[in-house]
Amino acid sequence: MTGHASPFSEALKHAVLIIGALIVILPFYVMVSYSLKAPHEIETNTGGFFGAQEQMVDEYCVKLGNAREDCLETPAIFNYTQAFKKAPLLRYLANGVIVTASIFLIQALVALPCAYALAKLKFWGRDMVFGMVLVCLLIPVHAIALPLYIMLAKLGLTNTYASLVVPWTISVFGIFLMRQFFKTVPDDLIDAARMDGMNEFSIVWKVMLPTAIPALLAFAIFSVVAHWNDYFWPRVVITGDRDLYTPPLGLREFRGGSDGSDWGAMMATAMIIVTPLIVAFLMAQKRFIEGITLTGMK
Amino acid sequence: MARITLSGIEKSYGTTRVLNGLDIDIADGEFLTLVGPSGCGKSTLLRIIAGLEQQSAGDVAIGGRVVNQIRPSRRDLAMVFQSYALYPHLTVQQNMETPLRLRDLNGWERMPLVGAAMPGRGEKLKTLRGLVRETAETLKIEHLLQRKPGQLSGGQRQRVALGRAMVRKPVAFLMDEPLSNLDAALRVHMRSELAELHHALKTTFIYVTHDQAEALTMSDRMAVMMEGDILQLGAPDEIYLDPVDRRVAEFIGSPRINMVDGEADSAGRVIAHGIHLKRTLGGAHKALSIGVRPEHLDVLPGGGDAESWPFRVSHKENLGSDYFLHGHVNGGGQRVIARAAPELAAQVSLGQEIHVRPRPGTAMAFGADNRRLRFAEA
Repeated sequence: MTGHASPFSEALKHAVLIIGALIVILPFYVMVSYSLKAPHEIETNTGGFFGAQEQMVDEYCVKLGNAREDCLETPAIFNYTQAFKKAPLLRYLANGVIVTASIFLIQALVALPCAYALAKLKFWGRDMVFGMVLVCLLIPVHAIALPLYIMLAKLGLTNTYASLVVPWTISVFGIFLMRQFFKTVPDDLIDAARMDGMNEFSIVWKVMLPTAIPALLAFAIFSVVAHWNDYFWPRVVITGDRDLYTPPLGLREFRGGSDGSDWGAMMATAMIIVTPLIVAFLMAQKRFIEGITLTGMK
Repeated sequence: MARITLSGIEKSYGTTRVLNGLDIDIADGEFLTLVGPSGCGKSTLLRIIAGLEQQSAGDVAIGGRVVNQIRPSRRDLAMVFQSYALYPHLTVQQNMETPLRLRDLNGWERMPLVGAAMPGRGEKLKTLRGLVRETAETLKIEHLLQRKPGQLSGGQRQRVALGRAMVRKPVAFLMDEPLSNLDAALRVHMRSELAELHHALKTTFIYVTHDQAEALTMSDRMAVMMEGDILQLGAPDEIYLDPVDRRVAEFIGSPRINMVDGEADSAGRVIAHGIHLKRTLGGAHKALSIGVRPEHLDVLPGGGDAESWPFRVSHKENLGSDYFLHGHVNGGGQRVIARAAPELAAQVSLGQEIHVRPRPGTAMAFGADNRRLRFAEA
């Protein structure tokens, strides 16, 4: 930083940042707010952020033949209980965990040795292989979705966990990211491990992996966010079996039917889906910044 | 125990040759230093001995056994790196245990869960912990055992790196500029400590450095390397007092040896910058370099004589015990440094014209091809 910026330019900077933040936060605001409000408040756009939280009548409950007095609900509680009642949301969340965790584990299992080889071993054609990795980074997922689907269908794997996991197990982005990080690990450390008697695989898991935790965490965020929130691919390969729905697919259950969209419950579901991510990343934040630095090295 | 013999070691990277067929015979328990400017191939040679790099030709033999095809860890050598290369995520204790675990525990015993159930593992662990403790005591780092490398100072990391090498009781230590990351005072201290350690362990040390002072102070023998060749191999005294090559003379010794242009007539009489040397060379030489070490120049603040050079002082360097007088001989372009006792230097002021005289019998002559030329014995 050089000198003091004028108060005006500081204010301008903050104004721009605040506007940007508002634009990003607005959908979240709507999501949180709707998840708390009663349907009539959502439709008429009244009630402020929390809604009045007046007792409301669950029309569906009445249709089922219950007395109106028995169908009184508080909107916020109603929305969230509805989220779990109307669809097996816990099952979907469990599916989400299984799928994203498997994807990330296998990605790391593949990417770390690949990245180590590309960063630290000398072999014929290494640069060409790395070039191919870079080229793969440019291929959009949607371009290869159809061939992938056909392959999985021919193998009879649609509507399985495998179809959700297998296509993502080799992450070129992961290989690229880890390779760039491994480049910064001093060669001496690897030579020391070799002198100590480690083979190349031990070096990857016992020396490179522990030093690469910050980079791996960064990659974990990309990977987990992308696959936890992915709607496109599960929608393609999970065609029938609702037991395999991932959380975003679960949102479809609240899509407008004959009785109109149930916005309150839908937003409550969305809240439940994003909360684990937000909590996880708030916890990981500290690790991110601290990381295991390579301070033992110099 | 372990004599290390290098014969005809060559190394090329593509078309670039970095080592040109080197032969060295390192005796058991010897402290051998490979010294040279950066890029001379000394580290490559060390890595070839370690097995971290494969030579293009030639043999490495340890204890009479050729080890060309043997993995680094099976050569029973230990290496200390310039950057220390400690595992940043492990404590000092774990760092020092690593080589022992890898050597003494089998694959099953090293497994995370299965290992604990293996019979005999506890005993082995106890022995190796004992070895670590013993080494830590020798190096006075017991109090650091539970810390991580990031929490240690440079000197402490240095010791831990040394400890990790020592626990294995290897047949030889390979050291790649282990002191270069330390500050000056600690480096001097560690020099003597390493030399003492060598006496205590009586193990072969092969030590790579670009610092000629380290080479002179610690080694039994030193090999001066340049551009992939060993220019001279011998005891430090021999290298310092009797260099066979101009580049060796210039590299070893601080401040640098003074080089003055000279020539020899057909009778071999040498004239160096206007003064005749007493000793003669075998024949005529057009372009000679006459080397005189700074401590071999007598400073004459009064008047000169036929055997001394007029010398204009341009800088006085105070080292406390000595002064180094920098200046030019005969007003010429060649910078010359002379050592003077403080009392003598006090009589000399900057810009003053004084005389310096090479002490008889100390000048060395080098030919145009950098080879040392011997004076005829008087």
